Amino acid sequence: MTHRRRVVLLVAVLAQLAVPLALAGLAAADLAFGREIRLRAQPVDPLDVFRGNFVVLRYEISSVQTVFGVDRGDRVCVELTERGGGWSGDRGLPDPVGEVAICGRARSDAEPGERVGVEYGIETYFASAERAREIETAIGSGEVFAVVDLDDDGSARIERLEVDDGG
Amino acid sequence: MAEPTFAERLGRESERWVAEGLITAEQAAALRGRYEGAAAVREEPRGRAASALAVVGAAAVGFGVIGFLAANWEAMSHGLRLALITAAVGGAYAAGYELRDRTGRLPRVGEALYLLGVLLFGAALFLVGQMYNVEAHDPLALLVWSAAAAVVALAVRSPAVAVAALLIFTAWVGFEAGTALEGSGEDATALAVLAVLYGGALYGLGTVALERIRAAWLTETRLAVAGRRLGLLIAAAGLFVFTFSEASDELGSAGRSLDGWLQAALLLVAAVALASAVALALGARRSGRGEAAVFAVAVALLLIGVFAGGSGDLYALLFNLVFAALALGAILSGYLNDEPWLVNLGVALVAIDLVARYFDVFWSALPRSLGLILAGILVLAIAWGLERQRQRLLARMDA
Repeated sequence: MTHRRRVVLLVAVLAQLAVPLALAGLAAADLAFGREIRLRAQPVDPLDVFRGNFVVLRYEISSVQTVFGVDRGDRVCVELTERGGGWSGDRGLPDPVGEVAICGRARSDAEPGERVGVEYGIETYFASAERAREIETAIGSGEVFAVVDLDDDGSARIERLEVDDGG
Repeated sequence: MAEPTFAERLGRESERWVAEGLITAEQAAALRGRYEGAAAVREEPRGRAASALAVVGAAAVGFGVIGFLAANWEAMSHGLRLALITAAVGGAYAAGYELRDRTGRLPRVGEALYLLGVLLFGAALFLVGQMYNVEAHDPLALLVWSAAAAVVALAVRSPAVAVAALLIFTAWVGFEAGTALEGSGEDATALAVLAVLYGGALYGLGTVALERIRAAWLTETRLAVAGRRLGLLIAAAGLFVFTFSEASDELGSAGRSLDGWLQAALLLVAAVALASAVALALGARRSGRGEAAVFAVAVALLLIGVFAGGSGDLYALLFNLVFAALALGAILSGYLNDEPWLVNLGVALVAIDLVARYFDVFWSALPRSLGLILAGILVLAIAWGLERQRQRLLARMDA
């Protein structure tokens, strides 16, 4: 192997070691410095909550009334207010407004005043098979909350799931 | 150093025999000449078996590591998980380099370890995503993974890693298209259209690259060879879908369900496929013009179907003709260019098409048991005829 190819291989391997570490570092920083809120969540499929090792979640803010015309993929932000132990909102805006806001992408086109589905990147939660079974059992006996970390720009990252058994 | 082959040992021993006066230099040369060819023939299947086993072993270890990490998720801290993933990726590459390129002791196992490093890097991307519940644009990870695999393949000149890079890139194309088409209603039809265009482009570009680029990296990675084989398979699979009138009937509605960006992307891939067909036609390959014509007609028909719509039965008839031209053309092209894999693939496509057409046209009109008997006899007859034809062609090519 020539010296040049050895250098290329070394750079490629170092990059492959750095990329996962950088991804993990960025995610860990988001979780450490973001604002923590609780969103009331529901598994999309109540009969088969965990498909493999992940659960697909739906939130109250997964469908909002937009105040502007949106195309599929457009950024949609929702101002959040706290009520009943969780944060919620119902108006889709083009930019983050207020003290606490979350932003996602429109799932479809919508005219002003229509309801539109929004994806925030927090719709999937991964867990080991054992933890998945625990959550699945707990879901039957109480409300599910996703603990989410919010950045200033409204981007969100799911941190963990909590189940309130009402007690 | 790698273990010497029989021919290498004979070479050294014969020099000693000459020095000791046991045989003359001419006799030594005759002995070496007698065994060189035979030794190479004997060593090659063993080498291939060792390579195949090493690749299977690498894949098993890769999946084992992923499974182990996934199964013991909760028991490990994030730091430990990251350390294990990083060590596994770095360790696989380091071991590959040691065995194949630094000492040359076990080159085939070393190459498999390079492949393992590539697989583990992909696993690392997905495991980190899972660990932190990252919901980025999912297909992007496949693109990053294929780019990393391509760089490694070029650096270490490994055919196994090059094939992996190509497969991962193809998976990215499919995943990206599937994600973009999600909810469009006719996503399966649009994916089949993309398969023909992408596969045709891959085959054309691979063939042209083999013919025109005389670079060591292309020869040693066998990237163009893998591209041609994979491309033809994908194109044939996509084309086969439209030999059924039910699928051809949906071409127009698939076109209407695509938004502006998706139509532009489809046209871009079609342009690449047509450009590669033109390059194929202008090249020196003996069957180049015929191959280019088949791909150009397929691309043109698909574009007309997608953007203008029309009768599904008519399109199915035309695609049947194009598919037959592709299958028979592959046999002819393999014969003309001394490429047995093309002959084999063409024969397989002919067999699949004949059986599919038999069931497509006649199945509903026959009782099931009688249909099965007739189908069985038909398949046996096809197999008999094709086997004889194939043996004749391969024998002529060997001669």
